[in-house]
Amino acid sequence: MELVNTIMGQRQRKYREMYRERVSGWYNGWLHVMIIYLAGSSALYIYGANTVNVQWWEWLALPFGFISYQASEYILHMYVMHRPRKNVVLRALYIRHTLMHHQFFTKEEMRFADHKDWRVTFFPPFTMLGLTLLSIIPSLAAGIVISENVGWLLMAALTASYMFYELIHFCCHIDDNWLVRNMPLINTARRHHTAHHDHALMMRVNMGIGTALPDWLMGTSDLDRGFWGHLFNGYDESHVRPGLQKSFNAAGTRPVPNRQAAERN
Amino acid sequence: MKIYSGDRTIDGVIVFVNQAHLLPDTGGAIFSDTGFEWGYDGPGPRQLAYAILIDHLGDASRAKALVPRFVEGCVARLDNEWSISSADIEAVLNSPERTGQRA
Amino acid sequence: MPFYVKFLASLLMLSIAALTAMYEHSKGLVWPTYLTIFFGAFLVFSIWIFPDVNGAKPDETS
Repeated sequence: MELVNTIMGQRQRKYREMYRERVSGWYNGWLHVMIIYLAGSSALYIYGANTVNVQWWEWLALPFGFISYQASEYILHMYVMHRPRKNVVLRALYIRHTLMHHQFFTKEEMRFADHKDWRVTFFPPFTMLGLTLLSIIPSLAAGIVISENVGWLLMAALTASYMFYELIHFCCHIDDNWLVRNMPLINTARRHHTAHHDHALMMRVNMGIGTALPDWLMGTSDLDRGFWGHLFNGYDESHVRPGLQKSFNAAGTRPVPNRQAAERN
Repeated sequence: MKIYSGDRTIDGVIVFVNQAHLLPDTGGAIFSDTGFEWGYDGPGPRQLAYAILIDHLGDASRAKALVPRFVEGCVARLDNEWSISSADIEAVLNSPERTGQRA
Repeated sequence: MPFYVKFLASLLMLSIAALTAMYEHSKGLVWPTYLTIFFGAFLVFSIWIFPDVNGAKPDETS
């Protein structure tokens, strides 16, 4: 199944067709999402149930965890998912992201056709498992050094932040509608992420997904705006930086040699 | 006149010189041992620049010296799927030094 | 994801889930104990049944 009203080019169309053929087995997008959110909800209940008599200052673990997650997401996106690494796990992230997600979705066509395409939209269940394992280290440290409640709340914040990311990212790839167009943060994320899917910019620009603030902080945003502008920009394109580097081929393109002919030779 | 082209495919990054594969270890993997990349400045793009320049110039030491200029002027700005000619390479190498532009 | 990575991660997850469940049981938390066991087992089960994307090298897909 493919979208009917679309401006996607032939290359993207062919890629999407090929990708879908390669998704093996009985993949079901709804099951995929159920796994993520069932696991996530269970985790949040577990973490919450382990807290006892939380003091006001211990709740600060939640915003701290959220901010830490956003920073980690930016770093992972910039330095792992868009950069080939030797480590087999890190390389798998790059392949799945740059060579699959970014070829399936482009600035011209950001939408999935149906739930079968959620395979390339949501992270696989391994991400929740990996995130849980990685979160244990700082949370255990916080639990020992600061307080047990802080440790559990940090685990909760990191897991909830991941689920928040998946929700925002999903909203970046669905069809435009009144809700996503007018909902603050979501509309900002949609514009920001669409710009990131511009092939000329994707390796360097707009790496934040849950929020554009890391890009604002690190100078990797396509917007020339301040803190609040980055948070609530919405669909506004009037603040896009004019000095963004254009693609080398933009001034003069030439046909790319026939791949299949080359493979046959 | 040679045509260098590259693409990001589901099976990996591929780069051609005319109809033949340009291999990531052309001239030795001195910048990166993780293969080619482009669209930014880093080990992968530098390795790509080096391999293209070695093939174009036939001189490894000159190619290595010109890598930063070629990355900044061309490789860091290549699109997802790209194609450049020997003439393009010469134009980049002979153009005045660019001041670095952020993102 | 390569087999050995998934295998090690699975062992780690199950071990930690078991230890956490024992800790919760010692605190008298009944439902969290069961849910922790479920969470660990469910995640490990999920990563093994989740379908791959064929064609790319087996050690480079998840």
